[in-house]
Amino acid sequence: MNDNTCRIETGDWIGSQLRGPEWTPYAQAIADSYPIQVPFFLRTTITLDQNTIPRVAVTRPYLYDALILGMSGTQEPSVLLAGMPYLQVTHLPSGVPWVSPASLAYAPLPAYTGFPGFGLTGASRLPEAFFLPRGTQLKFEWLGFALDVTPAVVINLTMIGVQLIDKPGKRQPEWITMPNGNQIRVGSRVPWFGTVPFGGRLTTRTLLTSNLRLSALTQIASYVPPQDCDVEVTDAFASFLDVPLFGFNGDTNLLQTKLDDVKTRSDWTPSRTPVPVIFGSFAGVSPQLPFPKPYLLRAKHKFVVTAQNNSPTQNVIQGTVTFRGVRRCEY
Amino acid sequence: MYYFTKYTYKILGYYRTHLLFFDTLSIGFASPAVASERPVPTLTHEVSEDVLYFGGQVSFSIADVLVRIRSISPQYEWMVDTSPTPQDTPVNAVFGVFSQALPIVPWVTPFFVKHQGRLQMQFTNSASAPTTGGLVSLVGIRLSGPLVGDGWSYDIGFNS
Repeated sequence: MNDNTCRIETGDWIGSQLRGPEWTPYAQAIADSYPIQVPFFLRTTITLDQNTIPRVAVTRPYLYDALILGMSGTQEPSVLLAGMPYLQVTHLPSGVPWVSPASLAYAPLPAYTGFPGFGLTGASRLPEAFFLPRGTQLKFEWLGFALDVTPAVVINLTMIGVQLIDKPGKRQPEWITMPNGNQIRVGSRVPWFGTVPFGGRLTTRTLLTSNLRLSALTQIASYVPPQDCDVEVTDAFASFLDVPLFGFNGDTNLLQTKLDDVKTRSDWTPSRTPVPVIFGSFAGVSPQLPFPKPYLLRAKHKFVVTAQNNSPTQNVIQGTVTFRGVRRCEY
Repeated sequence: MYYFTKYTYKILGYYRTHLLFFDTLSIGFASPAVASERPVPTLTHEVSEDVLYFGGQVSFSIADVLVRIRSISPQYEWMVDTSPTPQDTPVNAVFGVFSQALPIVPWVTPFFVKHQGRLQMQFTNSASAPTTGGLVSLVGIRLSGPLVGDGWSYDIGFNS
């Protein structure tokens, strides 16, 4: 049997951003162990300017276990005026990064939060809930890539979830049972982001100026590198749609793409497809556009993103695409 | 768009009747507007039944208005930050506004308040584009006709 057709333990299901905070089976199974569940908002703020980027912030250890199910952001000046910052999230004790260490080990802020501010949506769901054990910290690494930081950009990032409260001293659950009957370790499902350039690097590279470009009437391939674990890829985001400042001012249907799983040669797209068919925009109601079902990217496999610009005049500047999903590892 | 977790169903199961509930409150930002103003905390109305609050909406679309929510009796803090000085949560992470695809932001999990209990919301006006007045509306379910004792409570919990 082709292993890409097997059922995935979440039930082959991807929730919609529009339909509210649906919990994944993994999140529900963890929460079932706790008697009291209270809304949780964990805020960090960061100022990015030319003197201080990249910046690192860590959250303060918290009294209770928590599940992080979504993220919300604000940015001043806005994405339309200043572009978008990039972010890597790492759970400090485990050292597991959320963004795959590809050529860009960061993902744009709207890939996490949707529109930063009061857009069509106020928050975005993560592809999987993240279990944050009590007393542990998350590290945020910010990069002013594709961001105009003159004079400065202030970003508020709010992680939205639920506090899981139990009697003092009671240990957190170590194993949970998924809908298919499998027992998995708590912490073995982690949000995963894979960001690759939609274009090529220029020969000169600095942090603040354009170093990625897909010129008019060109085609460039980029690879999401092999992962050490299976990944359920659930949705995708493009940084350059609806952002004229750094992006593409022409007809976005002229930007086309083709996706392939290199190891199994299973084409996602038999022909080239307009970018907005596969990737969401930060200004839409589903900023991270869901696939009809998760795609199981096996460990050691990689897929290739072919970017083609059919516009005779317009370039894509600082364009990236981000695939989101769930990394399945046992630690 | 509202999502009922098992925890929610557990609470609902303690009551015979579930009634819709909308609670609109005035925030009271000064006029003319004052940047970074912190008016007196906004408290939800006291209700004679237990209530599950599911989400809410504000009457303005200024994302850098901040809010800090806690419940009173029992006291649960909803907001956490990373700074030694309080950094409240941008309001767009907690509430919706009429122009959004989801005008009411449903919370990840509803919050239970015992009868006569209240939620306290401490708002801080925007530092750059302050607004005046301001309304916040919460959406919930009133729970009446307890089937067991006085209904659900935090002493009972989910997995009792």
